[in-house]
Amino acid sequence: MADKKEQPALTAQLHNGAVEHAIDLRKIWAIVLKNWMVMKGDKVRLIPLIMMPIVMIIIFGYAAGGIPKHIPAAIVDYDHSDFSSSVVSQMSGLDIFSIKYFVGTQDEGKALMDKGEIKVLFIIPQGTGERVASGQSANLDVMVDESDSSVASIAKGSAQSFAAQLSSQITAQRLTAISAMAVSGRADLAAASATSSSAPAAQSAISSSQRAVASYWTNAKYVNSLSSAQTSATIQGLQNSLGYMVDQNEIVSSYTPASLSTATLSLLATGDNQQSVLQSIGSYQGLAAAQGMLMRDAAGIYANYQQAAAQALGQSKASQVSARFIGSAESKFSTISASAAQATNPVGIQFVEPYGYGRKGIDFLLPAILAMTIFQGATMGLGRAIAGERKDGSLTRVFLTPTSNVTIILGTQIFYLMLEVVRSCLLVLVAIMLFGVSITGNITDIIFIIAIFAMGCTGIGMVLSVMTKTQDQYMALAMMISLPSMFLSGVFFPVQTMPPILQGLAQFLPITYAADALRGIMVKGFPAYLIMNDILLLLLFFAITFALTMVFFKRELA
Amino acid sequence: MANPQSPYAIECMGITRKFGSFTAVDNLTLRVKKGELFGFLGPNGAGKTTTINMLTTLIRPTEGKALVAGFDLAEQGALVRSRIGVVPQSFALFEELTPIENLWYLGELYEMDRQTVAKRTEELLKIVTLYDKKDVQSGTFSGGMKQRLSVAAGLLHSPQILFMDEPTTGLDPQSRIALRELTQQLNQTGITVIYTTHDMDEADKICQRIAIMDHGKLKALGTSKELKEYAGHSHKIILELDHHDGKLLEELKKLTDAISVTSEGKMVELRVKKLRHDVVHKLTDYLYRHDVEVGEFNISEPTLEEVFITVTKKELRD
Repeated sequence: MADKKEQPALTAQLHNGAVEHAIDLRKIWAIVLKNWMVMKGDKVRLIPLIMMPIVMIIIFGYAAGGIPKHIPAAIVDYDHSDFSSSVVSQMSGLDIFSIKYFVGTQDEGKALMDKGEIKVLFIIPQGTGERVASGQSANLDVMVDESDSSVASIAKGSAQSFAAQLSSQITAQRLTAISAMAVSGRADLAAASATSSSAPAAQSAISSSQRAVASYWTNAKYVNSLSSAQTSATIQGLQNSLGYMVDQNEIVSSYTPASLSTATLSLLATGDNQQSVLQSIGSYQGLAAAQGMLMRDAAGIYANYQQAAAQALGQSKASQVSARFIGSAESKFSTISASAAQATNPVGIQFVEPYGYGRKGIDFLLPAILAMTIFQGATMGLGRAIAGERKDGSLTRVFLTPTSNVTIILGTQIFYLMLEVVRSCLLVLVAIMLFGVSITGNITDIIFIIAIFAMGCTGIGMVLSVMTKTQDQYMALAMMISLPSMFLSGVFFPVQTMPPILQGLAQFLPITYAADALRGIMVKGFPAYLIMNDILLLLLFFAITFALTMVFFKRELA
Repeated sequence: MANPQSPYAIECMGITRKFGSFTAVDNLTLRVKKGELFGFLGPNGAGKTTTINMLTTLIRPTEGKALVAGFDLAEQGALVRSRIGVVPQSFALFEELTPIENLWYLGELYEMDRQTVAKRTEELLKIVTLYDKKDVQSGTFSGGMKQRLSVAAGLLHSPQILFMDEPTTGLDPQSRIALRELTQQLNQTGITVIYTTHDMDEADKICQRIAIMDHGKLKALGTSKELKEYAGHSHKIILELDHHDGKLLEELKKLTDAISVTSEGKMVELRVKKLRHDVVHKLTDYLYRHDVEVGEFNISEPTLEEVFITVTKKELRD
């Protein structure tokens, strides 16, 4: 217990009323240190704060964007065909679904779904195999447990993609068959084409033989006419000699060639000469007649020949035309065959990666995760800052000191800002260590952006903290701001898929610009001056929140 | 108006504080001398805390003026604050920090020289007997210890006036006693102490002068003795006698100069305005000589509670 000698100490060194400086660096630093000591002294608050970024990055690194696996499912096969067996065995081999049961009826399957044992039931209707084999289309029935909406949408998508895969397989098989048929058709046509390819040669052969025959006929006719003339002349000569002979015998006064044969016969008795001449005439006349008959036959044969030749020529020309068609058909079959082979994958996509090859999804997600973590941490974490201290009275003691409002605000905000920067660095570090994320840009640029953004975010936290009277009030308001911002940050759902109103709202959120700026540096490797727009907006954001904090910060207790 | 040489630590001139239509403090006028241990006494809601808040510049008065430590409350707030220290109702320090760290922080905010802070921290912690716990997180302290730390914090920058707002509320009896002793000790070193409480007994025990407040108004002001006299209260001598009669009672009354004497069964009550120093001797002597056996012998003082009821009832009657 003190005694009188303590007296001087207690009343000594009276403090001279100090003037409040607007910004007092010593006091700002004292506030920062104090906040750190308070945080350090509360392990229950400190540890989650440090662990949160690590947890976030682990969740996103491992969980987000992953392909779902092993959704429990069952199959009912009403078809019992080779096709259905193949479908079943293919399904069993998928990662996405884990076929736990084979049931006999749909009702059995539904019962399993009711119990929650399966989420998806595949039903192969009767006759599916037949329909597919006969070239028709068939449906597989799928029953999905809608009550678990997150699994339901994934299951539906997976089932559809499985069906698409299956369809694509069957189509490929059918196309292969078509292709084979086309190949054999082509072979047939090739054979047909071979025969009709001789047509032009045949045509020219026919034409040339026609010409040869025509020329022979002409020659024959000429020769015949010559010999006919000769025969006629000979007969005439003989007849003349016979006539002369007759004149000499004065037996016949007149005769006509017509009656020459009778005359001939009656003259036979008169003389051997006359007889031999008459015989000669007769044989020459027979010869003429025979020549005539021969010519007539030859003419007939020639006419027939010409007719046949013309027909053959006509047919040959026709077959030439069909040869063209055959040729065309042949090339079409060839095309069908080739197309069938390529039908399954006509257009592929080759990704051209603009920001480096071999980067994983997490690389591109990291800036948004960072922005979101900072925003959340800053808006949710400042409850104790002003609101809490006001409630528990420690702020009152501060008000009794010559410390300006600006100093109090800046000191508090700078502490939380530093905290957010450290947390962000931790997050990035863990991302690099655990997931091998690669950062393109300049580290100082990144920290610079983080710092500016964190100033604005802690600014929001400060505004809320000075506006509210208790930590509970603070949390209520902070949640209202931070939860929607989380969803509009683009980390969980792409902003582009949202309705225009929400997209417009996202434009007002600093988190959008921070994520953009960070992407610019971390992914695209821009130096800071290229993202000036974003930087200026973030600075503006900080200025606004600071102004609001000053406006709302009440020094009076009431 | 400001007068640092004034013999008064505090001068209130009709200060008033309204919250909307509710008047928390109504036209308070009083003066506290330098070096006094001055009490504000009244029930919850009487306006004590609001008065303290005004005098410590945490709230502005809606009307009236006041001088604290010789400086004008409204115009020279910073100077006022430099001369006053506060022990608020709540702990108002950081439970995660040790006493040394808490005092360090305040020292920084008061722009005190670090060596001075170190020295004073050691001195103050010794005075409030927390020196052995100087590196322990203050969240682990008992209520009494926390309050003592709060006192040390209030004194860090050597204020002339220390405002203590219901400092013993919620403490166990031993801690209360310890704190009261500490308060008196501090006061003896020359610091003016403004002490608010709703505990009439406590005010009676330690405050040199007391302002009784109710519904925002000053009801009575004076030393404990003055107040009791003003309210017309008297001491009571209560005796348990094995036998008595009217004559005996009359004699006792004369002997003690009592205002009245009443009896109920064996109990006899004498109301005495002024308690004479030899009254006990006289009484026991007389009773012994008259063969009266005394079972109980009680002398009770008038209480401030009685004063309070009287004072407020008077107000109502008026």
